[in-house]
Amino acid sequence: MDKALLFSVFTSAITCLFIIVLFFAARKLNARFDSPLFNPLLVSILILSLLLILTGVSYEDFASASLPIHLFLEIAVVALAYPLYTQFHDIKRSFGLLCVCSFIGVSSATGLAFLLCHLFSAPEALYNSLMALSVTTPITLIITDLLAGLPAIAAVMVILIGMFGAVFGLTLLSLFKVSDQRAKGIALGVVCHGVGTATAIEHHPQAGAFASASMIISALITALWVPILYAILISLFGY
Amino acid sequence: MQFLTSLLLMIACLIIAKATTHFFEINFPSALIAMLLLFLLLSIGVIKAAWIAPASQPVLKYMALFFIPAGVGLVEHLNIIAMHWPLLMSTLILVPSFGLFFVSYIAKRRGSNG
Repeated sequence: MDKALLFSVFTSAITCLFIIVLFFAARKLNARFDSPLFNPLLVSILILSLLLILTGVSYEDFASASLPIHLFLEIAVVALAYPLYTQFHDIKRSFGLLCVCSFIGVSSATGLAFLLCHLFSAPEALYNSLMALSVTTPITLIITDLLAGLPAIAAVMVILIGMFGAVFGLTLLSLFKVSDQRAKGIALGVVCHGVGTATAIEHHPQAGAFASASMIISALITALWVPILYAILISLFGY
Repeated sequence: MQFLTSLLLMIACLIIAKATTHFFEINFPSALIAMLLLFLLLSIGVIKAAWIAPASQPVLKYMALFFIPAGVGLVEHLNIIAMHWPLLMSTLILVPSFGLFFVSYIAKRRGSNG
């Protein structure tokens, strides 16, 4: 094997190992403090970003070294078929309700983000980055890439929205006088995806089941509907 | 071994989906097509849920790990964040607040009607 290749394989292995160790350490920290503010994903991203800035390593080099981990992103999306299948029996009766709610949630997120971009006269790249926020992170990454946005910004926004939901979600829902566990679960799953679903599962089993089902349905609705809705909004209002 | 079989089944779905989107020039994320394909195969019983579980459960449990490389891409956009933080902050607060309001309202109304 030639030397340069060997070196890049070695760098990649070390980088991936470092990311994995860091992530599991962040999970430990999170379990210890049991606070949504110590979101392991966000903590890992911030530490690695800081390291890149401090050491002057370019993101391009980091991205190619961490490619093996990145490739699992799409496999994770495929794996979502498993919970969808095992839960399908329970949610079949409420399938229509879940679709309507996901549609409303996804559309309102895209519409509101578009309005805010308009008000703040955002550059086109930011418009493209904030259109698919009401959805789980892997889908955001894929859709934002499709819309020629900045996937990293979209991903971090989605994580932060999830954390917002974990901290304020249940308080807001009781403020809105929602007591039905199904409604709570659906709202948290559609709007705050993974982190919201975890919150719903802790809160009540029925809320949890509806949250994880509505999270997956939102993923599909986002992929099908957001690019179309965004095209409609642009043709009506421009950037 | 079971882990590997189950992982390979998911990768196979992904490859089929990628080939399909490439061949028919479909502008839809191939990972989602692969997910639907796997769901379909599970539903009609071609693939048993027990074959998929060994890899899908750990992959889903530690899913966040796979977003790290993309998330670190943040370092390339620090100036955009510094310039547009008021927009980002208002999006961060308003999008989930309104979203929770609308969705819970609809879920409450429609849910109680049956």
